[in-house]
Amino acid sequence: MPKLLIADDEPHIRTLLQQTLETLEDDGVELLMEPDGAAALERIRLERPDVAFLDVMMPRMNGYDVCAAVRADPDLAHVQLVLLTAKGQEADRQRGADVGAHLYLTKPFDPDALLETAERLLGLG
Amino acid sequence: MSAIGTEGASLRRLLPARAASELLAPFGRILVGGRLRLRRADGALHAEEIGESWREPHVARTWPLTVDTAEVGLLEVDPVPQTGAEEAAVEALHGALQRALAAAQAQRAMAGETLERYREIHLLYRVGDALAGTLDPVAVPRRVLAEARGVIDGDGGGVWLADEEAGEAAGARTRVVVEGRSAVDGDAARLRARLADPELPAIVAAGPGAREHLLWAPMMAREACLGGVWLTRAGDDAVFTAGDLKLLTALATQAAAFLDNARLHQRALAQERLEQELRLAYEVQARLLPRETPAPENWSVAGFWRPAREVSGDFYDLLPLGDALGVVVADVADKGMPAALFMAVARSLLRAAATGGRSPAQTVADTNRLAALDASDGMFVTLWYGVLRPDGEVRYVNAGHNPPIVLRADGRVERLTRTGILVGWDADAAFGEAAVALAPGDLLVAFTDGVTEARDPEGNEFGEGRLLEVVTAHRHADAQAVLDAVRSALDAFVAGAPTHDDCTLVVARFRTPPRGG
Repeated sequence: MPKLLIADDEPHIRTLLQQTLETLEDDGVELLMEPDGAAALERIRLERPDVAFLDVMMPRMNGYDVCAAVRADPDLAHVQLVLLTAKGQEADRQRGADVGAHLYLTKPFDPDALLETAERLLGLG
Repeated sequence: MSAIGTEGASLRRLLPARAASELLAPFGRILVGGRLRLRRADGALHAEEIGESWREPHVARTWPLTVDTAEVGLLEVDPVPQTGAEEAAVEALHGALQRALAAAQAQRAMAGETLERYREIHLLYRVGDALAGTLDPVAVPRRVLAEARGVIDGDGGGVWLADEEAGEAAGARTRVVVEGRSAVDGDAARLRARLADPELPAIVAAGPGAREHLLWAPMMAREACLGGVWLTRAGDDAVFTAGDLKLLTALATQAAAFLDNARLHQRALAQERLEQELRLAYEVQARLLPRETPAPENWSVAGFWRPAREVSGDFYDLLPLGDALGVVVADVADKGMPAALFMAVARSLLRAAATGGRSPAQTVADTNRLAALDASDGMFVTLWYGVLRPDGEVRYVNAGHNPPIVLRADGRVERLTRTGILVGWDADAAFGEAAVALAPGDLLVAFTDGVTEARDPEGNEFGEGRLLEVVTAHRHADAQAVLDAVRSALDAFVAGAPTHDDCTLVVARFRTPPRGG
């Protein structure tokens, strides 16, 4: 069963992300929600999701550091990482790429684009 | 496409299994002999809590779980509560579940609204981004229609473009881009009234379909309706929402701005092309004027030509005819390109006719006959044609032209009045010929009405009086100096006011023949 993890410290943004991606559940995808970076990393290690959407600015551990930690673990090489942030600077984008993020999406996100991205990364039609 | 996150409520979405189990847990400790289960609308088990002393299924009782009026699942209690306390506990649990579902549903509705706004922002951003680079008026409506159909569910749709310019050919009055099936309902009348155009053929011809809905938004820019976008949908419950209308309107308004911009750009391009053509035409026409001024025996001659626009219906010509010089000053009775073309024709005809020792009257008569055959309606030319002889005699024809002036050395003024009608009017017209003898120091000034009718910024005419004043003041100078003086005076008088007519002037001065000549 494919798994997709969403990590964001803002509860309403989490709701928006979940509500955007919940149609994936119809395709058998399990959505996992976490409220901060450290919890997200722990859950990634435990559940080994296929895709993780990570907010950049999170308490306890930011999105860049979660990315770097996941990339440092050979067992998690299959996890595809997407950074989500209100920032949109080219430097932030580059930093995301440097720590191994596959994609970098800015908020407010385009729900259609977000869903398409998730479907593409999960290999769904 | 159905909107993300706005689908009907389901137990799974509203109350995830983990949260449901947490809600059930304390009641399992109260109803120790019972089993509490939550079932989804399709009957699937969603969550359960089994009391410590529950052993086997009995007859169960169910309570419906509803959101608004829709049933999203069931609370199943096995066995049926036996005591009042158990009954009260189950009622409390049911109430808690209902409140949790209602709160979750409210939150989902809020989130759905927010996501809709997110989608709108990105739609407008995406369309703006895609259209920012396009200056093609046809691409704009196609893109808008494609985007509209991408975000708002519809069976068919189209874009109607209003005429850019009134007076286009009737067949080209309305251009409609239609994709899919198009249809109208009662709103078609409102659509037609709003767009105030009698021709909406593609929409109207389809006729109203049964149970079909129409959504449309006008494309407004600078308070003008450039057209409209519409979508259609079939089915009783397929009504469009206020949100759909808002979105389509935003899209249409944005498209209108880009369309307006694209059209302005195209107009500017067309204008630029036209100006380029006119510049070329000016260059061609300027080459038809004498490039060198012949210096016939005992005369000094100078000519000046200035078109009001790029091209002109005025011209002058200087034709060496043995020891004499033919002088033509002419004004085609029109302006712009047609006048310029007729000017070129008249000049060539006159040049050809003037050869072979023909008299001025014969020359103009021949020119007239050929010009009358060629001339389209309303194409005439007034001209003065004179032959300057070395002995000072000038034989001339004045075909409807304003009379040239002869200024004698002693200051007297004579006018070389008409000897015939304008050229091109009547193929059989006869032209009289007159002669005037110039003495040394006399000046001949031939001109078009653009000189005397030139206006200053207040609208006053330069007039023949001012022309005479300037010429008189310079009557002892040579032809070029007289011409330069008139030109300067004219420029000073007009003072940059827009000129409405072409200006042409030829000055000839008869000099004292050399001794023994």
